[in-house]
Amino acid sequence: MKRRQFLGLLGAAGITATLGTATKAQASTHTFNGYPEAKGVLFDETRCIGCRKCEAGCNKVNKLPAPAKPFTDLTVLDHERRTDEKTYTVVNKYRGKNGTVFRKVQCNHCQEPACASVCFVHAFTKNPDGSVTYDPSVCVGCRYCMVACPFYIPAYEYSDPLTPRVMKCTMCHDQIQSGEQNMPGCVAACPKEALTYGRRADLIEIARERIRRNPDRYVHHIYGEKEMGGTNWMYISGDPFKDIGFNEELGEKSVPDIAAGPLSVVPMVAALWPALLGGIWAISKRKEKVSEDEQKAAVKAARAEVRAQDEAKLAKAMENAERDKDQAIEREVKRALDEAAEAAKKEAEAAAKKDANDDGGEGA
Amino acid sequence: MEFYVYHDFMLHTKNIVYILMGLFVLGFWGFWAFMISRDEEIHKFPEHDKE
Amino acid sequence: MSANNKGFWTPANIITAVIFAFGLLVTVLRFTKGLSSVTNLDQNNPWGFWIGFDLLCGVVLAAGGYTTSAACYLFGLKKYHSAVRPAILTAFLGYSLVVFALLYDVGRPYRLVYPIFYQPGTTSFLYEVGLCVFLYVSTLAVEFSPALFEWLGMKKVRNAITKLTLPLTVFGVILSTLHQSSLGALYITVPSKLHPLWYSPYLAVLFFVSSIPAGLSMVIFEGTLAHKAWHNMMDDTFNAEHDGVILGFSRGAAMSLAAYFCVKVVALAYDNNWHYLATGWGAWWLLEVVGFVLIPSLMYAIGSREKNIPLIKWAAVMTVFGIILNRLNVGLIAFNWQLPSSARYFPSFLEIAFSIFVVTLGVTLYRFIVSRMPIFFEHPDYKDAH
Repeated sequence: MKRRQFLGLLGAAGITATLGTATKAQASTHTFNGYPEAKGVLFDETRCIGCRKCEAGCNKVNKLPAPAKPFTDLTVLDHERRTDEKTYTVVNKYRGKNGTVFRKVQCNHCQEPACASVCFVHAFTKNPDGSVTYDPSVCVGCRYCMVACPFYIPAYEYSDPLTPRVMKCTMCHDQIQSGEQNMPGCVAACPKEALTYGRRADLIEIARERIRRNPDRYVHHIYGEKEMGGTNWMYISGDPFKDIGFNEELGEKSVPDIAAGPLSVVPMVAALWPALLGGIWAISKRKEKVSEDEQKAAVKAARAEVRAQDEAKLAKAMENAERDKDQAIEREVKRALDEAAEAAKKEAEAAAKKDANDDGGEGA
Repeated sequence: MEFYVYHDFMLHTKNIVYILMGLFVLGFWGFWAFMISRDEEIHKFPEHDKE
Repeated sequence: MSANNKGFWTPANIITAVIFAFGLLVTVLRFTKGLSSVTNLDQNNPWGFWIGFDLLCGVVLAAGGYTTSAACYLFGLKKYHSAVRPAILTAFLGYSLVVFALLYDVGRPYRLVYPIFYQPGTTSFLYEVGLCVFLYVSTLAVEFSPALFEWLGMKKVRNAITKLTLPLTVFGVILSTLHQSSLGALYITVPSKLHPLWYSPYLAVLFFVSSIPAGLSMVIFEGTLAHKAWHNMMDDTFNAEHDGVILGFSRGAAMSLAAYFCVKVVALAYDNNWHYLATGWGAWWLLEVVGFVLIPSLMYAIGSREKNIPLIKWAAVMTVFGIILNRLNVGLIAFNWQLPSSARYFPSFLEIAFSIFVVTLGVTLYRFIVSRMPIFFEHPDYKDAH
């Protein structure tokens, strides 16, 4: 196939790839396929010779400090390394099925970046050119991005006491935007075309094409096409990915996807708790009031009873008093009558005695 | 507004949701205060005004 | 003790002074030479003992503040009233010290308010934690302030603030629900790094549910210690209610621990992780979940049934230990479990010394406050208010 034809075919295939196979993050009714013009890099393990020229190119383009051992010293490959605050990319050596193989490590520029998703100051941005970049002017230095990154990429300046930064590959975003570079430093430095820079959608087609043409040479998998929601840096390999330092158990769900469920519960607490807690408070308050009212009612009833008893007692006392009064009057009247009767009787007796004396004197 | 990245979409919606959460909580407070404003007994916290 | 004769240099004060000296050393090193000079943190292990212990454990053990005030003011359990002030004080000091420790751990502490006031990253659970901790520390400060104003004799301010008790309590429970659960949710984003026995989509629920027995147990545990030290400060109401608080809280702790156990098992079943129980990690998980969740739950139940106060106190100690174990497991021990042992993290001596310093600072502040302000007793001027 001629080169021009191939690219034309790629253009057409690119659209289907974007619509069909790229990551599909779902938010209820929305689908997100990433920026259509997003770029990426394809790493071909079968072409890498472990020369570390990409490391040197990266170091130069990004003006990183010079390493302890020069980039021409290949003995550093004897130990597995990772990215650190002075190194955006490293090459590691593995024992493949046909001898020594190499694998390049750097930020994979996730389609749905974990670091961006967990950053509480929104210091990371997924750019339309596919790169994930970091803004040190807002970073607090909490290092949650390093915790969350499934690829162990972001590194931290632990020895800087007051202005530490998180350091990682930028896919040479600034250099490409300013026109200083037309592709990332590592890609430009690679002498064996083990790295291919281009539209992510096109890269997937290129990778498929390589695998289709040499089915015995490659493992039939494009690492990064779907892992963690898909990455813009992808890999094809002649050896099982787990043998060359890849984690094959990451799954296809991106971190924003994983976090979406638990995050959706957060506002529910603010919406429901006030009503729920207010309700519980009102119930306990109501109970209190009811028991208070019951107590009051009981007191009232007791009082009423006492009052009724008192009234009855009073009435009885009044009645008694009345009766006493009547009796006293009666008694007084009776006594008066008796006294009057007695006096009349005495008068009558005295009168009778006088009459008798008068009769006896006349007869002698 | 169009979003290509799910994370950007989430950031947009979560920003709004957090503002709503603040409004909800303050709103509930005001709503509750309005509801009980003629309820003298509760307003005085007879048993609660310690602490 | 004969220590009283020696004036200031009592054994307790000497130990405190040594710990404070280490605190000063860590402060100087951290802010002149960076985290690498005091911690064993590295590129693979960005969160160490200061996050695993100071933040995760600090926040969960300060949960007594919201559980006690909710029980008293919202659920109407007024007999717990005397337990509220000590619990609020502990929570306030606990959260303040969490923030204090974070000032050392984050790279640029002078930007700690950026997420709230400058550029919020609302998709992060850490944003949620940061916002809620910020608001809750403020809420606790207001909730605690009546004790301060009573001490200072500022009646008007004190009375104005007590009118806010109910809304503040509701607000405190909302914030606590949110950030206790979000601390667990921090780890929902790392399914590939946290061991499956501790990783679960229910992490947020697990952290929230476990904060309830943790808070109740801390109130019991701390009440016991306080009784030994400040018995003479406690008024009759406090002493009369104390055993009632212990019995009531032990029931709450027994039930919430049982609920926590159920969620733990459901999390296991949900991801079909049963086979991990047969591994070494499984034994460690069983030790945590059976030894320090199920057994204390039973001890609490028996203790409250038989009114066995010493048994309840032991259950409280075990629960507190179990919750600390869980937070360390999630934050440090089961995190990065697949890395080779040479790449695993173990805290440095100075990291641990600093955490001890932070705890000592808390105890010192607590001692200072309870021996002056009306915490264990009602201020004579406000007796009638009750």
